[in-house]
Amino acid sequence: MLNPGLYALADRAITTALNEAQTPIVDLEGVTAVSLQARLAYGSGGTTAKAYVQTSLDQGVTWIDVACFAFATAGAVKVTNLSAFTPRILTVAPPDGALADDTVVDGLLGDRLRVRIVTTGTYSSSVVSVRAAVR
Amino acid sequence: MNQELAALERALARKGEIITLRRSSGTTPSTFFDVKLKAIVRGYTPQELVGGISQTDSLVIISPNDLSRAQWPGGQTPQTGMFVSDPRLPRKNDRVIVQGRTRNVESVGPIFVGDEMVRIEMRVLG
Repeated sequence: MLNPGLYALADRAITTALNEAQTPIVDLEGVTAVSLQARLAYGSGGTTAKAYVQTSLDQGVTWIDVACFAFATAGAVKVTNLSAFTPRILTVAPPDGALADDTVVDGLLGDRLRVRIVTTGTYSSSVVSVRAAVR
Repeated sequence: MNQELAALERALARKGEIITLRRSSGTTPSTFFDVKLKAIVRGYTPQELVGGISQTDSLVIISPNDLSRAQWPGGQTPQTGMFVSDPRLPRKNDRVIVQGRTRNVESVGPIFVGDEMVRIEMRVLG
């Protein structure tokens, strides 16, 4: 693949409620697998914080959730992995910021990745970080 | 590739040392993301010690290509407005680790030839 390596998909200090897509990591043509780690470095406050890892198959026009990391009011680290070789028997209506908590849609990997961060409540001194080891 | 940029790439390959550039997010707690890249690190000459630059400061020269390849610092909050800075550029209070010593980025000066960024100069101290 082009450009295997470790990328930061997000490092976002969160305060008031937000629904915000971060800028994408691009030029990942040929990606076959991605290991993902999401971390909520928690300070105080807040209600829910979700990080939707997304890919695109049409050069960024449509974004598809491939993993959802859900956090609440405690610091945590969650990991998962995705493979481009997992066959999908059924089609998927591409969700954008709507995947169920702590689930993945395996088998779909385009040439770019980004994170949409959705929070509720007002956090203080908290950071959502997402890393992707792409290969 | 621009001639000046190609010359810098050659100089970095020949004489550059590996440094780590670090962007931190948040305060307490905080997270960071690093990129390792080649740089030319040197002190300032006596003629350059003007305008608040002191003998303990260092000049760090890096190639914009290395930052682009690494896509450092990764996904960022989209910026809007008329005066949007290049998100690839290091900024004040990023950290540079040179030969095991962590130093603070005080100022960053991208240099353009025409429309192309051909080098990034940083003043670091600490």
